Amino acid sequence: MSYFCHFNAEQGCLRVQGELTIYQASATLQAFRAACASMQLTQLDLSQVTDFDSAGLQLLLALKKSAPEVQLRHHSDAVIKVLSLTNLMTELDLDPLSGGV
Amino acid sequence: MNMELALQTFFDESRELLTDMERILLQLESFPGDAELRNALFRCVHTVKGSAGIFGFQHVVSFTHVVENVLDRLRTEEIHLSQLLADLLLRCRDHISLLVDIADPEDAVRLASASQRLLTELGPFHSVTPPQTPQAVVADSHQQHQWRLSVQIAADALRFGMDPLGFIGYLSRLGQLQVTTSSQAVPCLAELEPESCYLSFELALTTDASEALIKEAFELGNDLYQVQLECVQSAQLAKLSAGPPNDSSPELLARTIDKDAGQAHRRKPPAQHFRVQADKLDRLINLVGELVIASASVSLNAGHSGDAVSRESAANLNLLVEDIRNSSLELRMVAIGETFQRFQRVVRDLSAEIGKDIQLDITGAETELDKTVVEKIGDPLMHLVRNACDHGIELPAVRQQKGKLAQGLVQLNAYHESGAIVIEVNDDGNGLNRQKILAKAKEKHLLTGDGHLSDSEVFNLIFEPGFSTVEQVTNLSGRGVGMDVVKRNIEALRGSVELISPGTLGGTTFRIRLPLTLAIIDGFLARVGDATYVVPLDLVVECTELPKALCNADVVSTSHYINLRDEVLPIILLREHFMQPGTSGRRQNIIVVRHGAHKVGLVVDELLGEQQTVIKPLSGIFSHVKGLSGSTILGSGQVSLILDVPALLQQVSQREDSLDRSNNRHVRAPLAAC
Amino acid sequence: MTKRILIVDDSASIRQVVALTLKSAGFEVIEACDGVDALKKIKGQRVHLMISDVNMPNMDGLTFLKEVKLLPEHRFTPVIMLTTESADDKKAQGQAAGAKAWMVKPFQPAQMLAAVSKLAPL
Repeated sequence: MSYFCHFNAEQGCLRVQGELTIYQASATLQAFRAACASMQLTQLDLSQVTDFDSAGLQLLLALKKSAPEVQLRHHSDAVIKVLSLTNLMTELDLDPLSGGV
Repeated sequence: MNMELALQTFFDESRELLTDMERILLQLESFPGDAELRNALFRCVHTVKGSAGIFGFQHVVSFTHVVENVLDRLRTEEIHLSQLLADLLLRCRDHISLLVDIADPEDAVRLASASQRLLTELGPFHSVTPPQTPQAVVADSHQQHQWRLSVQIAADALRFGMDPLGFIGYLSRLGQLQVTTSSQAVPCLAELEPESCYLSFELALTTDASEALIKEAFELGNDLYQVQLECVQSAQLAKLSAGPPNDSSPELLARTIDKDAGQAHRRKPPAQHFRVQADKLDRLINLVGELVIASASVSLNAGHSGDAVSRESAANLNLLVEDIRNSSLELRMVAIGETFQRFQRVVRDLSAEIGKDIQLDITGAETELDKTVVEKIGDPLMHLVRNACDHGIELPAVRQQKGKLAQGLVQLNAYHESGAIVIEVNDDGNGLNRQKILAKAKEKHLLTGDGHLSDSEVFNLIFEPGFSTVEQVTNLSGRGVGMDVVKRNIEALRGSVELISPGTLGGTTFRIRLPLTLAIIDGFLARVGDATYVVPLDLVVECTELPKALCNADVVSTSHYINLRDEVLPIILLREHFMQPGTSGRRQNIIVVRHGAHKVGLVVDELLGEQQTVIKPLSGIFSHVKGLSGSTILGSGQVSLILDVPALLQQVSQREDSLDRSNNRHVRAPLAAC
Repeated sequence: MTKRILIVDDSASIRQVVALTLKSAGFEVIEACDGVDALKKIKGQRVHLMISDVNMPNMDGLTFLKEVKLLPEHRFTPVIMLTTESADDKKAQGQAAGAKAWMVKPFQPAQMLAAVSKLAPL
């Protein structure tokens, strides 16, 4: 049940660690809003996401809608699985051929 | 863990549930208003059905399904438990038990007609409609079809755990799936409600799966999905579900939950149990037996060595071994209640059959005894209870004539008494008729001589083999049918049975005395010549030295009584009894033992003290020797014989009676004062 | 990440069969014999799907469901309720308490696996 959200303002990088599901959706939304408000967010590191569901997916979609310039990076296996199932790879910065990173 | 094991669990569990079912049904007859009982009754069959289903035992499921429905209606008070229905349900219970025992559905065919008969009888009580034949499903198998699905999802779906990824995954396994996720509805971060669902999907599926199989994707939680399904080739449109997801007021819900939760917590948590294979337990007990012997050997050697430290270690070891022995024997102890409970049903059915009104009272159900003893006592008890109902209790009219209550009473009672369990079967019906028994015994040539017999001796004649056969049952008020078998079975358990009857008016009591366990006892060790004997310690009242005046002479062997503090005590010379060679030493001791109301003094050479004793069966060559119940191995490796005190006492009372008969009452005069 | 599934049923044989089926399909399984037991066992760990019988002693399935829906760390987890055809009223109560998925007892292991695959995709 681990979850951790860390924003490195210097690098403009937000990293979600652990679960990114409906259980963390509220907390993650707050983190996304805060990071966007700082005007420094440039990328979202998804490499440490262990569990990912539709609520998590919607958060990424909403982030892209609010801040299209933010790059999603290092998609973990859990994320890749959902993006390929819903066919949203291109929308969420996943190269369909390379399968992520 | 494997399926085999799960199957074994199913059999055990079903057997338990069906036992419960019977008990609850009988209770429910007395307390029809008890909703908890009605629920529990329903649950029994519900669980059997559910478990049988998962193993694919269709023959069990189809029958229990109807019974379950009846119990469900009983539970919701749509129908009520009449005597007729209770009878029927009890028979259904028996039938389910038969069905469960047949694991192979093919064998179930021979029970089919019995099932059908019971189902017909259940007809008026159940509301089960015959299963509808499933509607023909479009789409031919092995033919690819292209389907188009449009799925709208309720905003609440994620909160209910219904993630669209689930049905997408399912559909992707059915064939080739093209997913178009519509994310336009997802708002920007500022407006996002993170737990609401904004997604919808357009799906194109190419598959040979049937329409029904595709629809199954939305079967769970279908009121959250609105699905349009269209077969592109046939352009068939099917609307699966309509209507908005229902809403419930959270505040109201929270309040009811609090209340319910409170109730759930107040209930006492049940004792935690877990199942152990019986033979594992038996193995443990055997090993503990060996451990007891080994530990006795350690003590013995430590004693011989004279080393104080070794002696102390050995003493500590002994204490621990004793604890282990007691704890492991306790593992095998079960309450006798379950065995008693079976007789509620027996008495109930039997009284209906023979037109009597009989109540069975159970006391001491929590009394514990060894599982191996419990298993073997069922049959003898059954015999005694049936006899009490059949021939002890009179017909209601007869009882009223005698000024008794029309309803007869049979009592089962159990309690612990000096290391033994006592089970009494008591009825308030006809007592025994001394004259009739005597006459019958003479007719059967069981009596030789015309000596006077005590009441107890007369009554106990019914335990003689060949005393009574079925034809004589009624004119002898029935006592004695197979009583010799009952007695034999009880004696095989190292127990005894006696009969108490105040006469023809006042009912009859059978009192069975059984050892708590068959494996290990605390014994008292004594030596006679080269041999050592073990007396079960709980039977020992006291030990004392035999007065010197009696030791050297042969007087003791010619008399059978001594005066122990002004009490006449019959004695047995073990040396003489077991025909041991040699003469007694200069000093002799008496071990006074008691069994039930009788006491006897056993004369031995030397008292050796207490010792834990592991009982080993006697081999066949000893079977003709009366008064021995087993053997044991001492720490020294020496074999010792365990005395069967009840048998010895019986011999004494026979001896007494034969003396009485010969009117040689002088011999009863105590020989000497101790 | 291995998906963890809870099965609550007072029948040990049903639990064993469900557990066997799910484990061999790659799930991790927690077994509980009633609601109270289940609440104790899921404490502090993520469960991806719960399967609960309705009729159980001690704490029945509906009470368990209501309790689960109050727990922040479990309230969004899907619950499949196992029921009999005859229990329509229970179903209505369960719907109100937040159970959206129902399975009719008795079921075969394969049916269970199919249902699970829809709610807890591996």
